[in-house]
Amino acid sequence: MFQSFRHAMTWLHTWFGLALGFVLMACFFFGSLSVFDREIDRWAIPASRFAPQPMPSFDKVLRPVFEDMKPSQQSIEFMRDKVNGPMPERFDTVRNWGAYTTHRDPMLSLFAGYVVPNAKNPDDGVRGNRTIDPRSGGALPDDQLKVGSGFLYPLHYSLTFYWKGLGFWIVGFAALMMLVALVTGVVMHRKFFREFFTFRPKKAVQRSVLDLHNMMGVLALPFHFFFAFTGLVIFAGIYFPVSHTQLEPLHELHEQHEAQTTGLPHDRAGVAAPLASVDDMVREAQRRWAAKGMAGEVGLLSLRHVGDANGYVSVFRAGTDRIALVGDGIHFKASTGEVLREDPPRTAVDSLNTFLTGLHLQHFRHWLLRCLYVLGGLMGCVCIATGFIFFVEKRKKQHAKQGRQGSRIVDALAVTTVTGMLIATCTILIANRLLPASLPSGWPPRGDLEQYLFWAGWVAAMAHAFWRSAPVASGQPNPAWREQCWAVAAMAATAVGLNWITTGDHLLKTVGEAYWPVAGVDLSLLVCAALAVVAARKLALRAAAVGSVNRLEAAHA
Amino acid sequence: MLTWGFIALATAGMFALGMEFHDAEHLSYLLGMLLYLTVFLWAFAAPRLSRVWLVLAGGGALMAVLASLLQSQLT
Repeated sequence: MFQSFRHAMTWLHTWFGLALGFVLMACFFFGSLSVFDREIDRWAIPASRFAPQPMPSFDKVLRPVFEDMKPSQQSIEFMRDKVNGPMPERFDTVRNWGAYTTHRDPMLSLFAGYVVPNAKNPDDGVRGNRTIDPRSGGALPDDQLKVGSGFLYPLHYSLTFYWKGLGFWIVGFAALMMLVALVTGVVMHRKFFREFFTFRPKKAVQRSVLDLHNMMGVLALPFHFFFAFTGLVIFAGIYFPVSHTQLEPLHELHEQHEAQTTGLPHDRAGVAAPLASVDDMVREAQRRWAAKGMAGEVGLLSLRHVGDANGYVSVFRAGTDRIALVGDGIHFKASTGEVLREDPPRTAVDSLNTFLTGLHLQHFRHWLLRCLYVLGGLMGCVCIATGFIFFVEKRKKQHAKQGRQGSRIVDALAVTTVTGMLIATCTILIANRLLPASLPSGWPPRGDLEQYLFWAGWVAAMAHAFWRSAPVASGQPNPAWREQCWAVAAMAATAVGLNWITTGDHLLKTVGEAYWPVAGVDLSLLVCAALAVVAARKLALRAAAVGSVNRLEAAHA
Repeated sequence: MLTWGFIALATAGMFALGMEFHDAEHLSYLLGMLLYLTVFLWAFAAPRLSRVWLVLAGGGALMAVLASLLQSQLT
């Protein structure tokens, strides 16, 4: 136990912040990139470089594609040990079809679920996904990785480490530690108001780094608290699965009650039925939204119990013009097109929950706010990175005298996290532009290979950071910081150049055509390269100054 | 443990009082996460470890049992 409350809070801030800071930095950085995940997708998939499209006709475009879809091999493999007896050869019973788009998506994501008759848990099934050009219905190759929404976005909440859901748990604990670090940070610092305005870049490194750490922490405190907190709330069902374990009977009671009151069948009837025109249902839904003064586009189209008499179609509105993540769904009987239900006005709790969730996931259209989200996220990164540097600067001379390796290890991990993460990100973008469209047989799918190269780039940055860390053990700076800044600058500029060479979309063209999704990614990469050059030059000057001081000391010794 | 018990009891309790199940669940999560943060900080600042265990394990178990008892009355 600690001497005082403030001691306890300081200990928590330092050690939990250090231990989980590496994960938190990844969450904040990739979360910031996820704000523009759809735009990164367009950069990574040149075939998708056209304007966002509304939901296309179901009857003419989507239905033939859905009827052609099959469960993915990956999904079948995942299901293999969850069936009684052998895995079926065919999956003829469609549980659901869905199509999802936003105001930033040129391509349309489709998903389908299929019943597995001999599944141990009847609710389990297999799934298939497809991404199409909504103008023609033509499919994108299965192994095209959506680098933004398919990789960087899940990376920020799961680390793409799905074994036993461990990635979600690590990120969840890190998010809790972010909240702890914010509260303990406020407790530790008595001059909270003064820290809004205090940054002394000309002072010693340790002082100016601490100023920057405090300033970033207090300036964006509500932003950081909100995102860490709502991130925890969004995944609370994973961390506390109370409703599907201890309270399962109560949940089941609610499900039955809900099926009765909503009129939306919980199960299939087992009687085949045709599908009426879904386009007519969409028109009726849009008419009803317009009548309520909220005319809008369709964001999600969902069909349950496809081909069955109990089948129904749900049409949800895109949340482009509101913060709350709501769909105002209208549900139709699939076989007749009769309206079964219109979602009722939201309760107070639901309004609060959808507002908080919507503010985190930002499906709404507001480009300035979107840019400010990135700024807030990057301020979080600066706060965490300066925390690492302060930790090292405060201890490295003392550790050098004592012959301890603590500062050296923390510094190498900080290099890995800060510049290494940028190197990994540039690696996946470069790989995306350099890998051929089709790979030789026996190679991993193209999208998987891009991800492997991302991790390989990160591991290489880590190896370099540790390899070059010896000077820290004698109280000197690690040259890996400077060298990796140069690497980031070169790689970011290379990614922009490769985009030009492989697609013809250079900056003059994309800016001239105001095609901001691609121009924005290129411009961000160039800004990143310029900042990396500035940082590398400053670090080189500092290294030279430290070197001359050391030589003077040696001469006088 | 304490947060689990709180979420279970608050969900069952608010459902029993007439709130829609998922509303009760979401409100319990919102409050439960704030409770988790508070209790986590307190656990490190508390003067006696025995008191921490009593509140976390004892309070959590008590609320979880009460939630199950309430559920058995409702189903």
